[in-house]
Amino acid sequence: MEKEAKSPKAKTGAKKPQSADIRAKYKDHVLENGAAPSSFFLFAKSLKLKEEDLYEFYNSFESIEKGIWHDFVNSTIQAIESEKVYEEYSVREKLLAFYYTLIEELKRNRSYILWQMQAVKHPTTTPYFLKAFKSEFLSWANNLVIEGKDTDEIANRPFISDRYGEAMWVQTLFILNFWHKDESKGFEKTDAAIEKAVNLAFDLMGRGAVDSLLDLAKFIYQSKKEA
Amino acid sequence: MKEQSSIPTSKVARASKFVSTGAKVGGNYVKHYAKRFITGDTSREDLDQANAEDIYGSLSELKGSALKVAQMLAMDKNILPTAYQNQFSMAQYSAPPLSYPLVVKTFKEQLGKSPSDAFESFSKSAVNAASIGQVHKGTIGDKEFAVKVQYPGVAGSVKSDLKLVKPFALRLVKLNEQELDHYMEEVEERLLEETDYKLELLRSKQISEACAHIPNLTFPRYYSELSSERILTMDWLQGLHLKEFLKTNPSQNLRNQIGQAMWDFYNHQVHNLLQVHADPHPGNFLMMENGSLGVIDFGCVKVIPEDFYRTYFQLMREDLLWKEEELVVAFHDLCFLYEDDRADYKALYIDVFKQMMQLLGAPFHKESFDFADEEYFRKIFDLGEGISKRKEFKNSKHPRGSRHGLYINRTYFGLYNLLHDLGAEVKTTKPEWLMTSLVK
Repeated sequence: MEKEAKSPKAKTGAKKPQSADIRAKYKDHVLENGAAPSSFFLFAKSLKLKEEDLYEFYNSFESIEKGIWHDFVNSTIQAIESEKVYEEYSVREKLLAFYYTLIEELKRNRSYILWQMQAVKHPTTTPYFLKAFKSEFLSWANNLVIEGKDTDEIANRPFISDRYGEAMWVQTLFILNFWHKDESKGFEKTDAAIEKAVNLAFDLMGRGAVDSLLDLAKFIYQSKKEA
Repeated sequence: MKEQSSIPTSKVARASKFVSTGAKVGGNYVKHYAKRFITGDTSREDLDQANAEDIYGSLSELKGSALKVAQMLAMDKNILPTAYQNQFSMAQYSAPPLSYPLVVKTFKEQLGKSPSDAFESFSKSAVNAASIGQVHKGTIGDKEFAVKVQYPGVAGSVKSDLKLVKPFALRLVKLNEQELDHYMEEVEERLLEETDYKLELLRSKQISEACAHIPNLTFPRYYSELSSERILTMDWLQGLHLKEFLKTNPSQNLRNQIGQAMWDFYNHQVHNLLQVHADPHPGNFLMMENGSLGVIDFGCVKVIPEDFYRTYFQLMREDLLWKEEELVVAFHDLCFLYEDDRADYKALYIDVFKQMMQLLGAPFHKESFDFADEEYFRKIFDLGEGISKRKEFKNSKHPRGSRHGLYINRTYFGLYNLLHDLGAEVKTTKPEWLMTSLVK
């Protein structure tokens, strides 16, 4: 986790802000002004905090932004896991449910996200504000991969299958970017994109053509060596 | 089934030439069909020579609308022998099903609750595919419901899909852009309407109420509180599709009874309601155990403009076929003929369209009509073939037939084919003004 103190030290003064309040305040500021606050001092002042008190929670605007994104992924995972039907889902469906719920979560914060994503130049690399988001996602996705291997939805392939979590992350970035640029009514196109991307991913990760290909390649390689 | 054995082998052989690859078939049929659909001008040679992979390439991208085209193709018995037709019906089911999480999402978004909250039980996977959505089965108590859920983004993609098809269509049918647009608009309108389940709900209710008095028809009840723009809930009808029904060797009486219900259903819609279920595709009907006909899909409804109605259906009067002057006026009104047609072609056009009307009107000319009649359907086919070989039609720079005729023709074409498959003899009830005895 980032430089975020889990529980602020209980100090005197009843209305001590929690870290969630700080993130909410930061978001509000961005939404109302179209920019980050001009200094940490001013931001602390608007929270009626001393600058040094603010450092107990965050030491930069970047770390606040990371926290905001971390909230998105956290509440998404909580929301899907609280659904009764989630337990019955296949791994493929769990991933789909994650993306659909994430998009719902992001929709509520679209203006903030559009502001945040202005700065992203290369859609394939992970921007700084997604760092905490990513590590949370990876730990969830890696569990999903293990589960998928158990249920045989995901083929265990030496070396390659260790990278599936990362691959899902790239897919997540793709979906984020797609949604970011989606202008269709109700983001219906993003729904279709999610459906197709996840289907492709599981077709590739499941036992199938890829294994036959690897098998053949290995066979030819070994035959050549023997010859 | 008798109609299968009666297909001339030469046609099967000719058609099989086109079946070398799936891609080719799809494209060629689309091309062939598109041309026939729009100009009435078909040519077997074109189908033969069609280098259609490029067309198929772009069509396969178009899930929704392309599926629709495939579905219409599956209906077109005159062109496709049953064997290939059956292959085509499969095309309807090629869209990958919606995942359950997306169904849940759609429910929450549209109805504010998940399927498991709305129903006591709900099938996680689709029980049936519709062309732009899929059908789930839900239950409350011992009542069963069919719940249609639409694919995301279909409505938004209709326009762009049609835009993609347009350059190909232009090349195929030798029309100028303006004239093609005229037809494309009509198709686009219908397709857009089909993506609006709210409208479908409204029309389903209206038409099923207005047709409630017709014997041997069954309509599901529709539930507006469980429906929205992209979800449509109705009673689950337990019945057989036409193909399964025929396998049970139904008696001639039963065939006639169902056929009669179908004819009466269309007669009432066209002539009294002036709006018609314009998609007589086998998938939209169920043969119920009690010997009635279940009607389950009102996605495609054509509202018939009054003036078009009069002009078009007067052609079904047998006496008009002998009044050349009136006939020519009607042909002009319906855009079968144009003022600037070449004089030497004109007589031929008139002759051919007259033959066509004589054939299509045949069921209207009699008290009752036996749709099992192979000879009748062969005549229609032969006329179509005849037209396609004539350069006078091939080189026509105008489309033949008005835009409203598109869906009306399709409706009657589908209806005749269904009745033919059913092998039904029906009393061809018709409005009074069309009842004319021929005075020679």
